[in-house]
Amino acid sequence: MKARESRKLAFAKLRAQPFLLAGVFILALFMLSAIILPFFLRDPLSTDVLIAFHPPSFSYLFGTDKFGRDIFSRCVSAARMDIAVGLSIAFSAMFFGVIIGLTAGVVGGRVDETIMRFTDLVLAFPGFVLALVLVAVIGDSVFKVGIAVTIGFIPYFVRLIRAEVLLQRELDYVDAAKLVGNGPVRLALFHILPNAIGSSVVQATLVAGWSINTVAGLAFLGVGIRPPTAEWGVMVAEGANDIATGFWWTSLAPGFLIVVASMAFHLIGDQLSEETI
Amino acid sequence: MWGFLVRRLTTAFLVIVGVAVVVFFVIRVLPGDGAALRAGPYASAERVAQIRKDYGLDKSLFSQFCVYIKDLSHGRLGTSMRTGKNVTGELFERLPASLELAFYSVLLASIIGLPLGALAAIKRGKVADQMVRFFAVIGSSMALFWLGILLIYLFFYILGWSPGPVGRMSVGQTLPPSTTGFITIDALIHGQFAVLGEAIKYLALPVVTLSFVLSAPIIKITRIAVLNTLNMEHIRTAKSIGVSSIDLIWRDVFRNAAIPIVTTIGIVFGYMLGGNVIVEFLFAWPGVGRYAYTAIQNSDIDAIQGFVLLVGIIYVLMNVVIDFVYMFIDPRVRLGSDQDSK
Repeated sequence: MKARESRKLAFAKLRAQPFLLAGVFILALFMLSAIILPFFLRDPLSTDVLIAFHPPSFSYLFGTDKFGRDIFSRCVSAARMDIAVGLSIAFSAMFFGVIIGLTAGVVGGRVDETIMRFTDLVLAFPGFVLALVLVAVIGDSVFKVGIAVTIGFIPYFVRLIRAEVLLQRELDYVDAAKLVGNGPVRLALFHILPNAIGSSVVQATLVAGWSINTVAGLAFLGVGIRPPTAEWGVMVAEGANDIATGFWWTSLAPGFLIVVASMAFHLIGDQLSEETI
Repeated sequence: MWGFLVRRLTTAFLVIVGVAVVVFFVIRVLPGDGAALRAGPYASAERVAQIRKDYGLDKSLFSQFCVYIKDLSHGRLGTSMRTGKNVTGELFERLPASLELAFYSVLLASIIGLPLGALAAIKRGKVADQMVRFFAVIGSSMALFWLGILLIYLFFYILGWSPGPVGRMSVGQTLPPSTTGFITIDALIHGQFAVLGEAIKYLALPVVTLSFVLSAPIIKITRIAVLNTLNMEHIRTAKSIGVSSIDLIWRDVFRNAAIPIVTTIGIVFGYMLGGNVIVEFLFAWPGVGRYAYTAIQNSDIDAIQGFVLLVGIIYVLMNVVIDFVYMFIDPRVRLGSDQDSK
């Protein structure tokens, strides 16, 4: 009885928040189609020059590109990669950021000072430039792009968590937990962290959206993920030249999907941060 | 006030030194062989060794670092492998183009973002607020390069209203004498109005592309800052004694909300000066972003290194400028700093 009521309440709340609802819906749609659709579609890498530049039609929903590859299958396959990469970057940036920020806030002193100065240094570079140069130096692969983009986002979480920890540390429950004999690690992980992590989770949804844009932007510049991989940014780059010759559809769908996927995360993040104002 | 200035510049200098060390670390110490990259996949071992020797990459890391710091203290950022010219000169040659693009983009983004953000805050929870928030969400999720391509397709290929994506000016157009490096302002100073019109035509698409994306953070931060200010006691009091709301917004709210807004606009501007690789690439804009793109395509180590350093330094200096702007808009910062410098 009680469970049903609270479920009802949750639904009512969700309905009152169109942004959150829309974001979750789009994301679910993306994930479902990325999992199920590939079984029914053409191979995203198979080429057939005879059907090159086929405009969008019933059999080729988004048309075909200059190699005769089906753009719809490529977009679906890319959805898998882009969303997975975006989520992994957000998770790992939050994971490392939380550990580092928690250490800085709880240990304090020299350690804190060193960590924060280092954070400032990373923040002295715009994230996109940092990722661009890191990938240019360490080389191209999906994994390396992931690392490069993650590094730029870690400081956001370090700062957020540290600020929260400094606030929480002054509260009575922390003293109480200390008094009953919790060691510093236990105190940090099981008492302070659960109370300090909220804003970081909100931040992580926004970071997932930004990561999708960053990774696609790097791929567009030919850095990181390379052709013929089915990735939205790569596809927009490949199609960019076809526009001049009138084949407008080659970049249209992949670019649109970048925006929609990123938007799903931003809608969720925007609503969540609205709750905290 | 002067004490604050000196202290702020000292910390900025220290951060720049740190930035220089980080850049060295990233470019030279991380796995990846610059000389092999430069020589290309089919080069012989001797060729790679020769390149390594030419650029001093065969020496010990420590002596490389000493050379790097020595060059840096003389303002030398190394020699481009691609053009053989001094990287510092090449970067500064291209900086005005980036600066002009950044300036107009941030200006337009602020013209869009400030009123929309304030409107959303005043109408919080209403339809207007929802629409502004949705606009900001689209702006934050927009893929710059895709938007640019769409605009080029629409306004150049289909409608023919805009010139093609070929940079600041058509080839063969004589430029006004360079006084400020901004083509628009130079043209204005020297009375060449036809050139001014041309320059604006070429600026329009990249500026619209950028400002659409840049307006999102400005809207968000303005909205939050104004919301917070509207909750302050003295504003509520002013409202309750009947100060008209337009007056209130202009005189009191914006003044109180100015610090976060100025910070954001400053950071966005600093970001634009160096981080604008995508749009400069797309519109063939002859700025530092496009230079970085070419450098990366050619694995031109010194040029990449110079670019990152420049971006880092601009970013740090931008933060100093923001702090100074605080002193003018907020007497608390000015007075507070005077007190602790005594």
